[in-house]
Amino acid sequence: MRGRGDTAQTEERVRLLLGPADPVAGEAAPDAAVLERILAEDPRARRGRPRSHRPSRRRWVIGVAVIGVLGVGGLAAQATGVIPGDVDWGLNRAGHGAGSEGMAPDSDKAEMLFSGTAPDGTAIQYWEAPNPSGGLCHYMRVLAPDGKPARSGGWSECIRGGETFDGMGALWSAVDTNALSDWVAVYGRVPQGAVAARVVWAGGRTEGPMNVGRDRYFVAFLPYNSRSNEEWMREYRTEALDAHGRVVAVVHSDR
Amino acid sequence: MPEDGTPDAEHRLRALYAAHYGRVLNFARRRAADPDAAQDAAAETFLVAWRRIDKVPREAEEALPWLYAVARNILANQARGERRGGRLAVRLGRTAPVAAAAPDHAGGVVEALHVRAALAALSQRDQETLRLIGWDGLDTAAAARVVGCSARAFAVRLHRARRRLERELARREEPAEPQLAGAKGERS
Repeated sequence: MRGRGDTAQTEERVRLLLGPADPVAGEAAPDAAVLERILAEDPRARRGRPRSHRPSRRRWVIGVAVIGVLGVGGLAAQATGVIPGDVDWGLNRAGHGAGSEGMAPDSDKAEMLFSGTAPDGTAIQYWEAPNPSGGLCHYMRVLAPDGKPARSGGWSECIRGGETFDGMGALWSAVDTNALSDWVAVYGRVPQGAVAARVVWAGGRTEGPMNVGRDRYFVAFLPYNSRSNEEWMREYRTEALDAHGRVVAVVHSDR
Repeated sequence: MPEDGTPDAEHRLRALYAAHYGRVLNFARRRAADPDAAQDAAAETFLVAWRRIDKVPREAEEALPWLYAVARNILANQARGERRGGRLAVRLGRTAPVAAAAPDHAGGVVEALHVRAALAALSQRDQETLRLIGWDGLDTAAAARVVGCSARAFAVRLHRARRRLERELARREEPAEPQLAGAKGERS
């Protein structure tokens, strides 16, 4: 049986083998400007309520997951040509600055691809707009239960065009632990012919089948505290299912 | 101090950032598609930590594996974005130029390339297992927390990955087989 001494020896051996080949040397100094942007971007809403204890972990309760309502809100705004100001801001957030040339989004062509509502009323909306490079910008918008843009959460990204990959028709998914604080959003899109999606993590935990909504998108919300951060990092696969429950497509996470 | 922040939360994040930003950035640089993506991933890691500051372990030896686990997820999301439609660019923006990795010392260039080539020939899981110990400075217990398995399971993975790396290194050091007359496809 392998003992701790053996493991320590193996660790040392690996460090000896790999150490000289480390592609990164030294350690960068903390970027103070980035830290200030982080602190300014996500003000905490915990005024006057310091926690007195660390919350204990809850048991895994998959039944609490609720299939988000794949809404059509935002279509009205699109129909009138009025994109919410915070959506315009969110799409532009990642399309400017050094290295982002040609990726400023055309917000006039923004559309909401899907939305979903968590059990506590917090909602997400996934917005997309093209950029001049031929790529796309995305904004994951978070709305508070009162329907107003949340003061924290969400994310922005811009992708440069020119690649040959065509996402239309393909299966993709994301286990998003970043958009919301209290929930993990599981969402994606299934190919033509599929009516549901299922996510299976290494170790066997499963979410779904999740029915798809308009345009074949699916979304579900799982309590963030239902498992440890390390468990959320595990590999998983997403299966697209047809009306008979047969798997018609599979994609594996890259972890 | 942000008007909605508590002094303790902001103090904790500042301390976390000062202590671990460099290592998180290096972690990302070893895995990201390019230096810009690495810097974005590092910044976003601390943004997640800020949002979940109460969930970040207070023990110093547990905070870094927690940050690494978050960074792994962010890098995986980046890779998905690359596969879906092109190179993922800015997420949080940048305010300073990204420093390039230091060049290898002349004497170790060939050896370093040899080891990296051998590493690249292994499976993704083996590569990650070896990187966490060999480059990211973790021990088995901490690395297990990053990947989400038991310490014992990680120890087994490490042992096997190390053997496969050594086998690959040895294979690359063997002299090439001499070409035989009448090789396949040739007519005698």
